[in-house]
Amino acid sequence: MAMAKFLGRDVRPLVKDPRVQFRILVAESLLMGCAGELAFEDEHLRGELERLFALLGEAPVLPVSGAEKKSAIGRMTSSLRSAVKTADPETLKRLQAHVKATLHDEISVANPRFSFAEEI
Amino acid sequence: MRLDPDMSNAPTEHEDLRARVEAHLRGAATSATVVSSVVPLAGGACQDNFRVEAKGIEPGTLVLRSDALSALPGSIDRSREFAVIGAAVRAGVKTPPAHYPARGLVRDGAHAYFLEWASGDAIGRKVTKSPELAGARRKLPEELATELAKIHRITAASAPELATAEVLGPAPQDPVASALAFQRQRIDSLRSPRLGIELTHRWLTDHAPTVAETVLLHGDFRTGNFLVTESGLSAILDWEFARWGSRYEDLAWISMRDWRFGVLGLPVGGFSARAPFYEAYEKRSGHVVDEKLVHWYEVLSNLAWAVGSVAQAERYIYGGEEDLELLAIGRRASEMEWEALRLIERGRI
Repeated sequence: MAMAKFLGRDVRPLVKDPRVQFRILVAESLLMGCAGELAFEDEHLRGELERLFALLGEAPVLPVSGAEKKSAIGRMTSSLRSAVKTADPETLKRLQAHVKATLHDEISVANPRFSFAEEI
Repeated sequence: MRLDPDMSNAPTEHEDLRARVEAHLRGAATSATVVSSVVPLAGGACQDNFRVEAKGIEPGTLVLRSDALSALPGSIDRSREFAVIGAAVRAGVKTPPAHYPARGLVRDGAHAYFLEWASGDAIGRKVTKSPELAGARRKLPEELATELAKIHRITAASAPELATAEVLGPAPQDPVASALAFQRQRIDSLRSPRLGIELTHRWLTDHAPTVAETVLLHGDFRTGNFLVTESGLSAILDWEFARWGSRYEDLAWISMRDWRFGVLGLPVGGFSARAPFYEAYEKRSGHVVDEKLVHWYEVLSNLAWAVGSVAQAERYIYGGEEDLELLAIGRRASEMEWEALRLIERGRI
């Protein structure tokens, strides 16, 4: 967050080239997104894991470290990806609910101004 | 021959390019041509663009478009684009004519051509929100529908020169199956699995409509790819995704959330409700717009953009292309996935 503010407040105003200005803006936005992810990472990873355990019927044993959590999510998501092609309608509905919840967490951090209204 | 992307730091290369452009135009246009400047323009993932100022040639301001080092899946090179633009101009589409095709002008082997300069604003947020363009926005549904109808009148039968291997290839017999297969191939080439993308492709496959007709598509018909002045539509731009397909690909693409540039309540490009645009399109094309097909193709559009976004990020992460914009675009894939699933749940546009 501090780096993003530094770029926006102290660096970008000094740059004349509009192409470089734009790239700095992109860097600020990425840094803000990373800051948000760091703040909510553990909460979101736990939520995603709990939903995946329920979907796959696995015992809800939460890994300890962030890296282990991500690895478990990657493994379970890969197996669900393969299942999508042949899943029945009820399973697809449950998968969709899980994915929307995960996407909601991701987007809330990456783009806090995103509208989640069902009708737009 | 390598081109320094930041021309302001490479005066020698700048002068070399200016000299090459001048030599080419003297041969292709008129020997009286004197090129005073060749300045890089921002934007464009598949091409390098330059503003060319010259005397002794009409018009004196041109845009030089040349193949970039890398291309996006589904994009065509400048020599194919040149042919497509020719057909569009002959069909009366409001797009700058292309002239003086070249090869190796900007970088070795790169196809290039020159466009007549057109005035106006293409920046999405300006088009949708600038007070100066309010009057123009009111005309856009009719004007854009008119141009789109002209583009869609071009078919493999009416423009067989486009259906050759050198340009767009033959038109697919089944544009729905062809679109689904293309997206499947792109999804399978991604290194970062996305469950939302898989679910969307499954839904599209299960609900695939029957569409027999194939027309020329602009392929990226949206706010940001046309110029607007206070008088209204100035020019349609950016034909690098031109291809054969169902007209609904173009009709749906312009309504994607991303292309509304913050004006979510106006689903057509952030400047219009659907009814005026579809009514104008029906009047100009003679084709009745089927909203169920628009819905299906909007889901497909969001899938395509989600997949494309992930692919952009992977160019940075795995491909070594150090451009932060690629990462930023990749992080947006979630929004397109969410939007696709929202549309699927809603069941209609």
